[in-house]
Amino acid sequence: MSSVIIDRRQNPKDRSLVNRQRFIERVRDEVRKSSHRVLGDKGLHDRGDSELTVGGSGIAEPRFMHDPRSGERDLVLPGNRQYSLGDLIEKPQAGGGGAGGTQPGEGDGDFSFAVSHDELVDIILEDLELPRLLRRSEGSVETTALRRAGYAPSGPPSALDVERTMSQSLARRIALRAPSLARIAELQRSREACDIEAERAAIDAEIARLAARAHAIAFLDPLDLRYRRFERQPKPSARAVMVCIIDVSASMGERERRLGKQFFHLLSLFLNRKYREVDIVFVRHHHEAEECDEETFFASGSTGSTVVSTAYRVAEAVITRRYASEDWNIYFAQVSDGDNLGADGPTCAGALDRLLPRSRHFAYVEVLREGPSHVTRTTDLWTVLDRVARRHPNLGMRQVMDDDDVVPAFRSLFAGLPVGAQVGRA
Amino acid sequence: MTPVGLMRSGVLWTGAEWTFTDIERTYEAVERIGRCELGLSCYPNQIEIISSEQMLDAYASIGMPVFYSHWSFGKHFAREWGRYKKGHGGLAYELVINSDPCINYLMDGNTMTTQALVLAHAAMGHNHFFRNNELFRSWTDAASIVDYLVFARDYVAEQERIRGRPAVERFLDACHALRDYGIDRARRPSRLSPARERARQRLRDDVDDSQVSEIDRILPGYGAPREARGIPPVLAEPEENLLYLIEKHAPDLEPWQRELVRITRKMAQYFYPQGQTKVMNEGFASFIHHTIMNRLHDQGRTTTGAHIEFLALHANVLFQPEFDDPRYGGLNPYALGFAVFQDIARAATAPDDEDRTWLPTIAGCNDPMGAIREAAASFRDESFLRQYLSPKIIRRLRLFRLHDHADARALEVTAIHDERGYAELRESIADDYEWHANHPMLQAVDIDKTTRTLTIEYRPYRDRTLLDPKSAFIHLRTLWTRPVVLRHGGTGQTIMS
Repeated sequence: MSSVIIDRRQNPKDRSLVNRQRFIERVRDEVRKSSHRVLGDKGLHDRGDSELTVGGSGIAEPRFMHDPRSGERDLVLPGNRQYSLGDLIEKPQAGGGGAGGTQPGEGDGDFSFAVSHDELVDIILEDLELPRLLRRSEGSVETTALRRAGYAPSGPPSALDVERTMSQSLARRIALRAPSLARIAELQRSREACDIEAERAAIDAEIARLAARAHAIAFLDPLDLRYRRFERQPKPSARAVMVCIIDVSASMGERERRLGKQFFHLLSLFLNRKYREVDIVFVRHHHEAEECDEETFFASGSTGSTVVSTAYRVAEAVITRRYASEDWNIYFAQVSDGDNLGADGPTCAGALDRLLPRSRHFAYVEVLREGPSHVTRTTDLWTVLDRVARRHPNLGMRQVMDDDDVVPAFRSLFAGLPVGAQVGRA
Repeated sequence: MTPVGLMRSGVLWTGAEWTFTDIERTYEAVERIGRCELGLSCYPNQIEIISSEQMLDAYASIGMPVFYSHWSFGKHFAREWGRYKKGHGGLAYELVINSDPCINYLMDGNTMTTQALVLAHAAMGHNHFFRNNELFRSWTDAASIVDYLVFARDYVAEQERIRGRPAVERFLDACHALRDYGIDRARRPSRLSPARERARQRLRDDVDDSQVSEIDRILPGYGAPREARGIPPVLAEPEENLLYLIEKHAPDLEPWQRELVRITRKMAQYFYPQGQTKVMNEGFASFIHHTIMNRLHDQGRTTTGAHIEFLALHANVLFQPEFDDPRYGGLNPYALGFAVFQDIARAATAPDDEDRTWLPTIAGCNDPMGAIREAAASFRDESFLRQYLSPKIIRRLRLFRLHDHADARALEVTAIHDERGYAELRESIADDYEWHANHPMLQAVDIDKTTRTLTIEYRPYRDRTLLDPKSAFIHLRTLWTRPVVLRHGGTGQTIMS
């Protein structure tokens, strides 16, 4: 019995990945449905695994099986302590028949599995047509960088590429059948080894011919020169800050905050894909506004009236203080139920007129009241923003009602629908 | 390299970390005990070190080193991965492939003691079992399985390229649903040969491409062999191997579809003995690792610490919770099998009167390893337990039997571990391991000459009914391509059509 020991640890892991991708593809639609709900439960900075649950139908593996509740059977079990022949034992209530050891449903019911954060993001952002989003929100770019772009026959001496040039030269000499120096040296040697006068003369003639030819063909011709070429490429700056504004006045309940959180989450995922570094600023407000941490941000609200302009003022202050430099891409996302103090309208408009030119995009998401009249009702804040949006195309506004609206709203905000168009629920 | 003199004696390893030298040296020591003292005859071993992720991956592909891609393996992977990450259900320590050479996986995170245990358990125990058990010898072909898997993987990939993945996956879904009905349980299957498979499959492509079943009806005397033309035979006798019937006679399948049916069938065939010998195989391997690890310690080749670690692992693997324990999940095949093999060894050397009655063939034969090898070679779980489950084990496990009838409100205790109960418990346990106790019995009984409707009869086992057969039935209909009737074998009623 011989044996071999093989270390397979470095083998590619593609097999499980292929099968896993196929599985996820198979449940993609369902996964999407539950994945944006998962976002509502996760912290914005949470990069851990998420548990997804999908229904059975698409991934069932049916087989012919006995119904365990039918017919009759004998169970042999270990560990008898008290029973004697003829004892009767009440059947356990919950189906299945006690300790029969039936496996938990293969294929029936829901199937839960874990996905990594990256997989989750892939699933969600794929749904959002990411490439289109990236192009659209690229906007104008201030900085440029030099980038290598092949070779050119002319250029500054410092960019001369010696290797390229020499290979050009070699190619030209081969093409022109230039005699090689090695060949001449070889002839030289055979001449010295040669005793016969006539042959020596013949070799001499050959050497002279080759030398003349070698002399006629330049070793390095200006044609051969190659220079490294550079192009100026626009370089998008790599940093973004996302300012989240939420209304925490009494009218914003559990549902409103959950929808808001989903929206903020989507935006943060999106920005994380696009930028190397993403800062998140949380601003919450009722009749006063404050910057806060994530936990406080999503915590339940306080009483009081609503004055939205206070939040804009705080946001403006934060931006001016910390994110003033040119290379910050500034995004705003505001979630509100649309309530605002009537007299605050002009102040808001004024603040937005200052904020919007400095930002890439301002997304306003209004959570609709539950109730029959929500589609037609126009809130105070909506009216104000709608007017501002006519002057500033980078202000986008959407209304959402429940979980299923969030992703479509997000997508339409960033996918280039006419800004300000009031998209009702599908 | 370690000098030969050192390899022959002294402690094999210390501490938890392992090195390749440790594994080599330990394998050598384990193998010497297995071969010289226990009389094992194994395939050559190929020992592969893999990561935990690769181990999960192998699980998901039903333990095979190469397998075609299918979403269902991803599903199993997702489940196992979730369980593993949550910390329930640790990974099995070992995975071993019935192949020649025999492939053993060792996980890199294992301690050296675990690696030694796995070498003794899988590379010796399972390996010998694969090579010597009659069921494996008849139903599987260890020498060609890996090549066949490569063929299957390439074939499926090629078809996915040609036909598109959805079509191939959908068809495989249907094949998988009928997996349990692709086995020739009564006759020995022919040997696998990838080269022959390829040649045969090419031939089929040539023949079939030129023949549509419509033509067959018009030209019944056409020269091609009957099988290739897809003309259904009048079934001379009921056919249990539905996939075989489908592969050969389903009216409108395309050649590639027949090939996928065949691949599913061949895989089911290959795995059939594993399902039929779970108790014996694990029991035997556990008995072997237990013997070898104890020998190593007796020889002074393992430290006391390592031996205690081994005993803890061993106790874990062989743990049998009692029926009312929340951890109970049926009889642990490791525990049951190990108990029986250990009992055989005991009865062979130190029999008492009870053994002479219950285990007459081996009691006092004085060749414990001979009796054990014989038991491992000639049985399957059902016959093995019928032959060797002794009152001593029944008493030790305090087995009892409950009778469960769907209409009854209570379960009745119909046997306990006493003089009257031994034989009944032995028979009942053995019955549980019968194929038909766990797989509904379906047989093709008729193919209609004109409509080619296939009639399948369900032969109920102890009045059981089928659990929601609709989805599986739809797959069956996909495979047959013509109407299918599922009929109750007892009452003759149509269950589904």
